[in-house]
Amino acid sequence: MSTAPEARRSGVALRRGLRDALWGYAMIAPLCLGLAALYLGPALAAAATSLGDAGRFGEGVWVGLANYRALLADVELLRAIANTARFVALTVPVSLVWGLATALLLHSRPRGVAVYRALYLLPALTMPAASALIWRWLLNGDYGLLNGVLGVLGLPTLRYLTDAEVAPYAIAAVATWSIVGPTALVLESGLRRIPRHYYEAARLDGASALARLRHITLPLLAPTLFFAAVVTTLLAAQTFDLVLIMVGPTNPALASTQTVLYRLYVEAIVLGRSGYAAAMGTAFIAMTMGLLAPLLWRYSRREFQHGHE
Amino acid sequence: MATSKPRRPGRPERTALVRHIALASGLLVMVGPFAWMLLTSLKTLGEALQVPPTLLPATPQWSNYAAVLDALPFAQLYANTTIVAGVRAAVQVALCSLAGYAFARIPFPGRDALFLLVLAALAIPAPLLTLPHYQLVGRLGWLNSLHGLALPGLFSAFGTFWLRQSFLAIPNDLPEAAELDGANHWQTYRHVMLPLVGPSLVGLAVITVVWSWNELLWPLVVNSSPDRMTLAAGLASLQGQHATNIPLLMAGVVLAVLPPLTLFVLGQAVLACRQKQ
Amino acid sequence: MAPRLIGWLLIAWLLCGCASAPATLAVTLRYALWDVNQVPAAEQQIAAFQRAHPHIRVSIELTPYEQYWTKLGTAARDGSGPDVFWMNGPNIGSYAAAGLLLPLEGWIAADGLDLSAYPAWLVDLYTLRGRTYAIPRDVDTIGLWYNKELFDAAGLAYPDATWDWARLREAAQALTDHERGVWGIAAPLVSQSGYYNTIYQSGGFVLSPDGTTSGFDREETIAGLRFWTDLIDAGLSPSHAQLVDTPPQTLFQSGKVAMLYDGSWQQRPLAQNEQIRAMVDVAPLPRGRERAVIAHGLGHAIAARTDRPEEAWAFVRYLGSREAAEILARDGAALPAYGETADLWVEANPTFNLQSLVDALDGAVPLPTSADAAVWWELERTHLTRAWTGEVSVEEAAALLAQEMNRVLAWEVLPR
Repeated sequence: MSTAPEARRSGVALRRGLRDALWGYAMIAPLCLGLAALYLGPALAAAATSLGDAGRFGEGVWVGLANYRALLADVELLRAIANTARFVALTVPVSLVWGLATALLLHSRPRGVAVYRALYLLPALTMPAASALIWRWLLNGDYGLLNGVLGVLGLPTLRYLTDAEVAPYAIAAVATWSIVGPTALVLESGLRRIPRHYYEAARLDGASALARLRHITLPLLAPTLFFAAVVTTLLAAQTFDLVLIMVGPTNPALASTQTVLYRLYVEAIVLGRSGYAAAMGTAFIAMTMGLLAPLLWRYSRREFQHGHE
Repeated sequence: MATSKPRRPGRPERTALVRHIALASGLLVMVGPFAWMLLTSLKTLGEALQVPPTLLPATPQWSNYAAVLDALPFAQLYANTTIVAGVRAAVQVALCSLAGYAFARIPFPGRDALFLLVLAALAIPAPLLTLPHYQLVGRLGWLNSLHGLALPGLFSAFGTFWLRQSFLAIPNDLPEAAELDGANHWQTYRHVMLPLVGPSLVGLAVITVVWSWNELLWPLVVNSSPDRMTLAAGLASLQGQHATNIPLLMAGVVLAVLPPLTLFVLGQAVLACRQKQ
Repeated sequence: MAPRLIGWLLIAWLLCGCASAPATLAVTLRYALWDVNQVPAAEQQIAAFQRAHPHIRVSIELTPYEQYWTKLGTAARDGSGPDVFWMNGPNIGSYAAAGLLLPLEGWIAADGLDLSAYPAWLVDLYTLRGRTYAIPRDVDTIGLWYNKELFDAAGLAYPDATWDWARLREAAQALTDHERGVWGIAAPLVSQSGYYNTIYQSGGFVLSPDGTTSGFDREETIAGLRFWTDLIDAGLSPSHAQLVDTPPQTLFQSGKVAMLYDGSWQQRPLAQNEQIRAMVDVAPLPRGRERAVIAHGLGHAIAARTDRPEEAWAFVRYLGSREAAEILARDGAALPAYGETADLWVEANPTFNLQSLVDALDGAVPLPTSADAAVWWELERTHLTRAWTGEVSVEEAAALLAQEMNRVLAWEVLPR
């Protein structure tokens, strides 16, 4: 039992490990340093601010965890958390399904696909304030186009943006509308990397379109789908601009539509309570990462266990 | 361009037609509001403010376009917006693909934990970032400059995540073969893996540009002189405190959107041609 | 090939960001404002100022109102903000308390500047604890805008200075025609151009003169609030939800609402609406138990950390002068605070009877504000929304509001 080859093998492994570490750190360094300065830094600063009662322009005294205790008692915030959860549950699945359907359609390269792709990005490219103006007219309870059409067809009309029951769905619809284009773009780029010969082989074996979707497309698209799902969820959870310009502070539907970040915006910008807002923000980061991290961990494990064939 | 083998005569035409109908109906919803924007841009102020709203203007007011071109220095706004968007796209593609590759394919200690930290950047609420970014840019002496404006958008957790997933989707045999040939990580990345994630790189570039196009608060906060303004900032300045000239604003929006859209269509055509070669 | 070229271009571009800007001989002042419609007047004023002070250049920084305060606050905290900027009532308290404004009373005394040219209440708005933080720029007030065509069709005489609440209600009754989708008046939930006016007209108040007590639980104040909710309940105004859905100005400019309380600042936008301008005019607000109208005005402030205080003061002093006021008045976009120039403003805007607004300034009540006004304004929005929708009674909403507002006022940093 000679130990020399084993020693050689473990020596090689050690050098390889060192080489991997060096390369790994080197390749992630520019990005991570940038992110550290631009995101980690501010997050830590926010955490520090959250331990004081700073006002609009900073300063304030140390209050320890008082802001966090106040968060738990903030009824409007708790309601906003529920609103945000509902908003995410409405927006993410619909935009993923719609985005995937669109991506599949675009991927089949119909005539004029370039124009289709561009036009699907139009909502994301248009000035949000202008889009909101248009949507407010379309969804206007008294004079809107939607109610106009429904009225002509004899269907019931609703107050989409001022009725507490309906408004959350209207806002979710507008959010979905603006995010479908980019989602489709992301998913289509994933579709492009699936080798065509898989499909051809499957077709020769007599597989139906649905079977091809289930057994080839979805599994191979999984990493990209996962990415799209996570990012869409994070973005949806952070919506507040939309609520601000479509709902507004005196709207009777505000209580059922204001999101967590809308509350943060009010606390930070309108009321100037920087300390409290920082606590809200820090808690938000902790909560979202707390929910996502286990998911990501499990998914990462699976990715490497399964391999890619 | 791949076409399915016909099983029965007429089948591919029917499928293509169904696809067109599906895409077009989705498109109607996507583009409908913009069509209204276009129509509104041709109305008079009175017409635009009428309720119930009129669909078509009585006479198209092309003068609104002349007025908005007069009100805003579009050439300068375009130049600024394009430079910032372009620089961000280029830097993001480079840095995110580098980091994405490492996170996907190099087993280095602490990788998964570091990746989670990277992702955490996506969860940070925007209002918490304005002041720190402003202070950082101030310390660099880059206030009121395009450099300062571009800076926060150069580093993207979104792009890193995307590229990592894209690299993960590549079968193991290709990079393993490269390694057996003696390639180091840079060579594997640059010559084997990077070409395989082309669609994601293009996609990231496009999304970065789109996102940059409408970014509003940061350009307004970090820049003060009119010759550093972006399109979004310029359009926003058309909004008054109590009243906005809506047709004018809509004309501005149309002018801000049509050129990049056209370039995107043309760009795709160019890419498609080059792929065929 | 291409990526490498892009890479080098990028590095070159990034590096040239590190080069510093060349020094200039002239002093440049940065002047921040938020209204694109007033830039022409500002440019004229700057031109005149620069002619008189050749070594000072002034550059305008326009930020839309929505983002103006975020930008100003961020920059001012950092010490890198504009030298001279527009200030308003809602923000003077917090900015002064944070030490971001240069106190001006020393300069005023040294130059012997006479502040009596401006309305006393406006000078007071920008004077806290004896220190003056801004020189008044302009004045805005609230008027009763009405649709002449609808009045003619109903055979009613136009509103004038003799009107009171009862007369207004009668007219609203006659003008409301639900079949044609027309209401007599709009009762939106707005403070400055809405219920604040009626609160003071019924003898109530929003904030006690010493700034420590809320007036919302007082009978008179509640009467001022009920003025509006009664109009909604009687069907003379669109419901709160309808007014949130469609802005009152849109309804007014579409002839759906015959009367609207709104600011003098609407005269320009209304004059630009070719469909409505001939059909609309403005009258003083009807009196309640008393005559009152909420008045406000912008001021010019100087950043505490400016490195050009002398030049900044020269500019601010100029902006408050008669000459600058006349430029502003002739441009017509804003009514200057310099009292004697009001006639020029009225002349510059012949479309509407703006003289009535100027005359009504006798009963001016300055916009109630305090250092933490942002907080109790948010409270107003929350509580009064429930009253406007009828979810709770006005009395109940007002009582809760007063309670919470008093708590906020007790914590304020800067008493008047």
